[in-house]
Amino acid sequence: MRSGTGKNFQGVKKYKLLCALASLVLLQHPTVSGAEEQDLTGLSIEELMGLKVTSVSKKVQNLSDSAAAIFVITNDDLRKSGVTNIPDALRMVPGINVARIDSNKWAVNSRSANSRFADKLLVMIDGRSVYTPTYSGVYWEVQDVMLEDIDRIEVIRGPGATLWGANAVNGVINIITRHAADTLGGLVSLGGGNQEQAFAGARYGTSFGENSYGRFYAKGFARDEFQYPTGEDADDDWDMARGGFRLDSSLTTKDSFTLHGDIYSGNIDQQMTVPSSVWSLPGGFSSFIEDDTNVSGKNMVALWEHVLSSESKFTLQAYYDGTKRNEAFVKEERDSFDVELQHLIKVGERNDVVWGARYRSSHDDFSPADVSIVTMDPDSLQDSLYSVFLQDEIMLARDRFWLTLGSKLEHNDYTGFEFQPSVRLRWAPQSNHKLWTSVSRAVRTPSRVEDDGTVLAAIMPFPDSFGPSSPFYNPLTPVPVMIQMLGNNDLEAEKLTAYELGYRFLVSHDFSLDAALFYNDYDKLRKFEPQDTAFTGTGIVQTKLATNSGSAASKGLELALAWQTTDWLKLDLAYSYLDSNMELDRQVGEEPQYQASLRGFINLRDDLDLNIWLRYVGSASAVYLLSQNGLYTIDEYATCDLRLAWRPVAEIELSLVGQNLLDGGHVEFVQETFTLPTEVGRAVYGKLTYKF
Amino acid sequence: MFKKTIHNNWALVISLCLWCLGSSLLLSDKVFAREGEEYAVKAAFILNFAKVTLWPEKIFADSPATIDVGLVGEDESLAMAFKSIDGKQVGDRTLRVRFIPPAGDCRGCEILFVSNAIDRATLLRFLTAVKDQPVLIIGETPDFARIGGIINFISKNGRLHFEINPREAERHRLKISSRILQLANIVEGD
Repeated sequence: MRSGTGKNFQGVKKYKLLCALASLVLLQHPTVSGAEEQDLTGLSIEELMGLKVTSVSKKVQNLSDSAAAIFVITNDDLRKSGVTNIPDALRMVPGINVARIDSNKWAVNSRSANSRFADKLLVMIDGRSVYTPTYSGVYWEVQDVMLEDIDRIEVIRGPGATLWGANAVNGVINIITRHAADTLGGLVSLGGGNQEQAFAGARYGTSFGENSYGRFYAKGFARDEFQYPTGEDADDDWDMARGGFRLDSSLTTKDSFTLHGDIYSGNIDQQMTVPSSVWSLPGGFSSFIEDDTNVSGKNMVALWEHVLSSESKFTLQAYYDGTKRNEAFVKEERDSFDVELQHLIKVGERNDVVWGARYRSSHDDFSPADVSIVTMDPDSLQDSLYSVFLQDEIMLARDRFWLTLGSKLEHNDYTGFEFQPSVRLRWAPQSNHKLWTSVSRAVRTPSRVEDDGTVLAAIMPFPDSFGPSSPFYNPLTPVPVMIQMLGNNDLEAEKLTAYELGYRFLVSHDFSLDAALFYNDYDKLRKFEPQDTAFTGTGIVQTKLATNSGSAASKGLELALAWQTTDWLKLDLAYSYLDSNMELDRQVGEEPQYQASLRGFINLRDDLDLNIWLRYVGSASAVYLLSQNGLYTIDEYATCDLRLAWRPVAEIELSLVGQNLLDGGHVEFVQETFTLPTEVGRAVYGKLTYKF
Repeated sequence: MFKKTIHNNWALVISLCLWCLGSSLLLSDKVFAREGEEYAVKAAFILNFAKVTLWPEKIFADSPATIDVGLVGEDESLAMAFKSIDGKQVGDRTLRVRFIPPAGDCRGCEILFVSNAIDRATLLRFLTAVKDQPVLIIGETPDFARIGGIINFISKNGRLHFEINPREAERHRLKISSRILQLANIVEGD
């Protein structure tokens, strides 16, 4: 029996009452159903030409034809969820585990146990990879855009390596912002609350001549600190400002050109307990620091699309991305340059071929940080990566059977050539029943830390394993045992072979079901293996060397259900089951086995929306070096977000959002080391959006 | 294990709901938004086009009371957006909207709207199928009115405009009112 059960039982009771209250609100309007759809059919052509048009993305519909487990978060989903950042939005996706570690850190992973340093998920913003080669993960806190300008977030669970390359192992997240032609005019949004202390954003879009459009934006926020489970402030408040632009131009009917860029800068506070070789009371071999991390970055992406003929087109993309991070234990600068060519060509009646080539160069520079915990050898390095891929979608039977074959061949400086093939089969027995299956292989190449790093993870006073019988035992002047993670130049890539099966059932526009089953077979997983201990004179060094000795398997089921029950109520359910034995290698904790998200979109009136979002995440554990057994147990939790939005006139929307309403606070995850468990608490904010 | 005292969680939840109730009671009538979903607007355009187009009389021989509008697209949600014009009267005829999948047949249609969700090969197949037939073929791909289409939707400053290729209309034996031609961007075909 876990300690959180009592709390959750109360949560359930609260939920019932909440539903009762919500239905009371609904009863106020027995006739509110959004029946009064505006009738455009009475308008003349001149009037119609004056109407501003909002469009539903066409690509989204086509995604139901992909032979992969894909989920799309639309702009509407984002707005109605009330989320204020990208990682929180991913909680609505089945198969994705999102856990907020503290006010400014998230752990996000797909089909796998989670970690702040989750390392097999590829994340891209408008075609720019934001996955850092430093630790093979994503610094989620610095990934942001103007949420109002996001067209959609495509989330692919499972390998996408044939198209996207190494590290697209457990999933790919594509954050796609709108074409500049779709963001004309001004938009201002501002608000604040208890945790979202203050935020503001503004965008203006305009057209230049016939076929060129542009927009620029600026946004900023200040977020308050969270609290430790003891009720003390965690001092993890942060603020960030960013700005950017996008230009889209169709130079000719055959050429379109896009240029976009962003800059950002932020201050992130955190309290850390870091290893220290000096014994002190009460800290032991650790010291406490109040860190103010400075982060900044800039990027610029250019994209050219050229139509060669009705059956062939290519895109050429080049970008620069620069990031700086000045944290107590790591001072890092990274500059990446990436260029990629893709060519789509229809060969004959039945073959849709896409091939491409990519070159990427990434240069990093680690300078001595305030606390020397992480060291890199060499401290500055230039990595190159080049790859080619070819994929062919073959229509075996017209509008019934498709076979997709492809592979990527990639060369990286750590492990040389990597081959990442996939086979996918899609069958549409009827236009509304679709079945797909796939077998694919993906690899994760070693990160810079795993290759060249040394991390002093913790210093413990004579560990229990030595005990009073040990020759090192000395209760007065304890001997420090330094636990050191050591990178390994001979590390190979981690390998995954994934087997997937999916089914989509589109009953009508009002009801759809998407189910995916998978079995993942991981091999050569990175595992830090304890080496012989060494006595250095001042202490004992316990080295853990990065090796490829790990292996694991996982299986799971993901379900997404969308149901427009009536014209005023839409329900969106996401359910995931996941079972893996990854925790056996003790490199990660245990995943939450069950997760569910239920979103209710209630159209109270044409100008009034009520959105309810209930979430459940099962119990899990995380690797936590500061605990006795190296693990931290995370209780299951259920919570609820509410959003009420009112549009007094078409241009203005006022909304009130409550998040995590069911409890005073719960721990969702912990970072492996340095920081204390922090609770995600209840939040409320109000927001005004004005369009002109 | 840490455990935090549960505060009075209800204050927030209840005030949210009260805010809900209060504002919904106070609210005024809905305001007409000068905005429309793309395909709902296109549907309204097509209704207008139907009103200003003259078909040769004999093509209505098989179904004299209706004007059949075919919608070519990837999935049936396209037809949902057009249901607002299904059953509308145009003169003494009724509009009848039907969805046509990419592999489908467009025979019997007087108006054909080809969405840009389909690939180029399918687009060309439909253009060829109605070549020289009295079918008002409408599209939404950049060069549509140059490769055999009659009317093409284009977007300007977030608003919908349209191009007409009058020579193509003539080839299809259709007469389109000059009032509409004045509003359109005229495309000079070959």
